[in-house]
Amino acid sequence: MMTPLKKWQKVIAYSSLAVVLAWTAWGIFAIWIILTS
Amino acid sequence: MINKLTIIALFINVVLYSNMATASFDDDEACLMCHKYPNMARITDDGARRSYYVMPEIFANTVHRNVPCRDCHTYINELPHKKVDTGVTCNTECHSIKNPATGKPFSHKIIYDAYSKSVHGRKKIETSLENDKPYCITCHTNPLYNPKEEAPPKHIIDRCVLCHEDEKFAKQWYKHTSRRINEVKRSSIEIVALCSSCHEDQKLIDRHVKQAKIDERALGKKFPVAVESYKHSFHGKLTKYGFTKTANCLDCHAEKDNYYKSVHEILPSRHEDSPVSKTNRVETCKRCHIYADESYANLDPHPTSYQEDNVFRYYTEIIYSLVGDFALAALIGLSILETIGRRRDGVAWRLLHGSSWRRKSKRGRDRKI
Amino acid sequence: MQLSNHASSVLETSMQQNKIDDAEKKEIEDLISALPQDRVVIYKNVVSNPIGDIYRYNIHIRIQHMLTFVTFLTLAFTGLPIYFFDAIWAEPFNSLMGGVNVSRIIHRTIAAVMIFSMIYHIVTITLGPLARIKLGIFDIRRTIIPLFKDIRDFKDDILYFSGNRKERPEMDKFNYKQKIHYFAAAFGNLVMVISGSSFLFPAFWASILPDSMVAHFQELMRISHPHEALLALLVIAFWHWYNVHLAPGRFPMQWTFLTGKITREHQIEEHFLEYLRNLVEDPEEREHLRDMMESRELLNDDDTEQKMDAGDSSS
Repeated sequence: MMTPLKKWQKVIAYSSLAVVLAWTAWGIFAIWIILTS
Repeated sequence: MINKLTIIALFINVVLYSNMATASFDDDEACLMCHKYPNMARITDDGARRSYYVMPEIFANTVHRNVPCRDCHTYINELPHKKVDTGVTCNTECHSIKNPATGKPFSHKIIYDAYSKSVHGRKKIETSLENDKPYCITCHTNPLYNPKEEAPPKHIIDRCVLCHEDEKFAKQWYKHTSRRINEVKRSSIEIVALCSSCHEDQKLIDRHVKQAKIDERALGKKFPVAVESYKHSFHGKLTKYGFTKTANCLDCHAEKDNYYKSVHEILPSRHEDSPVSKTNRVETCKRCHIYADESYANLDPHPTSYQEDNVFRYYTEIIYSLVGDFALAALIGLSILETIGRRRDGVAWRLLHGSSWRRKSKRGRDRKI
Repeated sequence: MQLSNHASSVLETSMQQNKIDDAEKKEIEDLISALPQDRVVIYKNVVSNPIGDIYRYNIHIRIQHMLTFVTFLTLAFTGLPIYFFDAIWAEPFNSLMGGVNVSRIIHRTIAAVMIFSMIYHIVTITLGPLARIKLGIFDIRRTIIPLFKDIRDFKDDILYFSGNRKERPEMDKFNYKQKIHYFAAAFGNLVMVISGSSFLFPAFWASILPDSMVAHFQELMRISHPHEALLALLVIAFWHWYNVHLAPGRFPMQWTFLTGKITREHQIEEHFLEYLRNLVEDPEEREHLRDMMESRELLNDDDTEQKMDAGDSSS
């Protein structure tokens, strides 16, 4: 089992996840634009 | 082809944005007697409306303002005049305007003759494919509004006026020279747009390719894909983004020497005098790529992936895409397989009982499986 | 647990290289034999700190990863609007970085940083093993070098995922997935550097290649550079980020790239052979493991066996 993350660790982890997801989402959007125009 | 209607429309548009002095137009020849009427026009045999409306206050601000009507329209001998056939050609000599440098009548003959010898050269009235070529007025209108001419700076005019006395005279001469000094050369983006207006026209390209095949005449290898391939090249992409130090059409296809003349002397690439002919190519590249040598000339500034144009690139593109797509699909497929596969480990169990995806409050150090 | 032959060999080598005396050897072997046979039982019951428990990546590797990560994304950012020049997002995206005048400088400068990182890495992975060889503690199975075992592991893992094998294979420090990714990235990096250099120094490449090849080489480079970049970007976004952020057991983020440490759970599941070495090298780890297993009554020692006989319903 994993010991729970401390508050500051959660901030770092979730923000980096958010960055990565945002970049991926943008990438999907950009690819969709390219393929449909 | 830009017809007179377009020119008039241009005049009307620009008038809304410019502040110009009122006209001083000496209508000695009485042309305006009829031509001042907005509806002065005729319908041609093929149903087009050709306008012959001249707005004196607009014309008085163009570069031809001091040229009397019949200096160009030399064929007008009586009023009302007979039907016009060819009209004005740009190699007409002006009776009234003398070239101050040579004392001879002013004319555009030098450029006109040079242009006639180029690949684009044509007569004003042409038939069939020759009509696709640009005439002078395709690219050159009667320039009207130049922001640099708008307000001659007072601190300069004040000086001129001290000797030349007439402020109007001083302002006109200021405008005349300042526009030419201030580099009215078209920007790279404008040049590309200008050349593209014909060289990107698919119908035009198809006509010429077809006719060349019928005539068994050689056509430039890149002619069918000229603009498209340029736009896909690095030169083209950077130009599109506003970078000015990269090659546009004229930087390679026109001579470096006497730029303004050479852009009217463009020759096909198979002609030995063309800057992009096999013999001259390296020197042309060297204008920017100073370390270029003979081998450098092998590089293609108009790359395409079409099979007819570049077989190697065509297949390389296909193979690369296949390999890339396969690799990506394989990796993602592996991830999916793994995620589902690890379920057997109790990933589902873990999700149920608390995992890093979803925590449960009671994690139970004492819990046994 | 009963170790496989391969695992035993790994354990033996490690004990030899670390000059373990007989007493300690017995302690290690006892602990291992007391563990449950099923690795899943072990890793589901150890306590792991998501920040990391066991040392894995040294500072140099972490710096290089950071450099690669930052440079790669920046290069992609500045390069994408050039390749996809007629997409509607291209111009605004490019302007965001100051237009092509600026982005071309950024792209080339960052490329130089990436090359530096590449050289730094090559130095690290050369000197490291050399030092270990000198000290007599080198084991090729702990390196990123692909071995036949990785092919067997891949096959076994696929069998496991598809339900045809009852447990995951015992994999070493760098499993097949990481080796694939590493060499794909290394190859990709090399392609990017060479193709990039052909754009920056076209005259140089044209002069050293035979004339008939010049045009073809350049066209190959013109295709490779954006395709490889795009492929790498897609792999990073959809594969690498999935594995380090979204995969079960890693969510929300795997901390190894910062701390250099891997969680116990992950190590036992996917890098068990390396975990054996950890047990050899680190007595504290042995103690932790023993404590964790004992608290859950999972150890098959002589002591616990009696408790089990007494009607305990564990395992």
